[in-house]
Amino acid sequence: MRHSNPNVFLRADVTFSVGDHTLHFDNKNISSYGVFGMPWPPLSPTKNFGQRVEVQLRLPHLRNIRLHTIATLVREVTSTGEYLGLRLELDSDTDKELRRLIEVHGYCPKEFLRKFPRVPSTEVIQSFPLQMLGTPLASGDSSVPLAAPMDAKKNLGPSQRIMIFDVRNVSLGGVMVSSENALGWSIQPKQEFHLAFEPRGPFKDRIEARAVVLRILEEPDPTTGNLMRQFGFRYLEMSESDRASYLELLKQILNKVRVIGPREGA
Amino acid sequence: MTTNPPKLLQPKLVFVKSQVSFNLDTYTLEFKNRSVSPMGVFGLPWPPLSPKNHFGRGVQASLILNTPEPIQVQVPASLSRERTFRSDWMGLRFHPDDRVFRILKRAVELYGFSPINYQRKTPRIPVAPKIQTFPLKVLGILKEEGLTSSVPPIVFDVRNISLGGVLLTTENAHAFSIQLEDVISLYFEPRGPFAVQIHAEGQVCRILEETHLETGNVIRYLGFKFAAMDQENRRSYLALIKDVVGRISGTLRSDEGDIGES
Repeated sequence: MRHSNPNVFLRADVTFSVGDHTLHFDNKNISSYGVFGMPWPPLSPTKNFGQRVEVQLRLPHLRNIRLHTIATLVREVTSTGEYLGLRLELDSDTDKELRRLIEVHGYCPKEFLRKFPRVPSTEVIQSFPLQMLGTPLASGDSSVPLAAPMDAKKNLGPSQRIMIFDVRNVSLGGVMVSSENALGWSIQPKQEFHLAFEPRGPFKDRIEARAVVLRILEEPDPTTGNLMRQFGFRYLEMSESDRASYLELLKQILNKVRVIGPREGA
Repeated sequence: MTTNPPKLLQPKLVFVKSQVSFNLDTYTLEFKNRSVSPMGVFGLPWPPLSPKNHFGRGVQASLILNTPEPIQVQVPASLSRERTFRSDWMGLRFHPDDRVFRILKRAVELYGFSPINYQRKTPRIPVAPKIQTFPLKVLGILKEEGLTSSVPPIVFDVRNISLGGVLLTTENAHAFSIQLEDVISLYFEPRGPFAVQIHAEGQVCRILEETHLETGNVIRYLGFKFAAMDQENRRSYLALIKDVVGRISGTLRSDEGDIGES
């Protein structure tokens, strides 16, 4: 499966203020979805998470073009650390302008050429799986059992530790999913899961895999304020028949969909 | 649940009476005095059409609304099929443009009525993703007389909930094995601040099938009535309904989630 690599990021200097602090980051990768991978200090992931801020983006390589927008502070957790992110809330004109600038002047990071492209979730593709079941695995040093409130534990049957995830994007190597289920707050990077894609439409195979959480992105849902947790999984193990089914599924999907960059859909 | 139901739980105007007609193949079908909503019309007899041959077909439906000044509208529709304990029915799922949708909605507001069973039974609360705690998904595990089911667990989308049951949908082809009267273990996926997973046994009492307009996938609606729910889950479910009702504003579109009179 060969794909062209569209431009994904643009370099920008990012400035915003929270309380007494003004934060400035030079030369960050930005997309119309946001800016990620920034250090939290002097802000705090517990106190400042979910706050909305005014952000200035300066494009030093493009005659210092300046863009202004509102953004929400989100937090990202990986096995290497906890990072601050800005989820940009661009108005339609600024969004259009930023997308145009990225298309014309942006770039595609080199690692995209080595890794598998991600395909964003879309319900208009007949067989695109929109949901999946996840069961945390207790084996492995780093695995953490999924916590459930006491009052729920008593009533749960076979699905006691099954969570339903929404699929955000899929790739050959992994899947990004999300959940508003508070029972999933205890999930941590390095935790292993048994995953099962919910079949959709004419594609009836139930594809299963063992996978590990690599990345967690948390942000408040803009409409409800619920904590939306996104989990980036990498597949560790897939049976031969599941692998064959998964390749077939991706092939069907890729015939109908555009390929996006790593942060998009996140 | 309470002696004075909140506004949301009070009967609302849902349908307006109308004459419905359409042509398909060599047939012209006409139905008088039917309950239609902006979403469609359901509970029509199949003959001379057949669910096997005509399900999912597109038609142009002509409506003459029984309003003081009869209003005529044309609306694209697709044929759905519905199965209840009593029989198989045909339905027309409307695909109105904005103008026709507004006409139908206005007619319901001015000249519509609440179906009688809304007053007898517990009213349905249509899915509302904007409500923090409204459950959007349910995990279903088919029970087969103590044996391990051959049907894998199925993830359902919630379309409406009520005190007595729930209406769910799926595009999973494995759900075709589910039949009327089957009992399924239902696990509501917790959402937002309501962090309790509620479990109930649901019995399938209605099946409605229609085709997805864009993908052509068959969407299966399964109407469940709760067959069993222990006291603790019942308490949690009542708390959830109370929580949801408390959060819903009066601005909810009156026809969202309604799929007909049943």
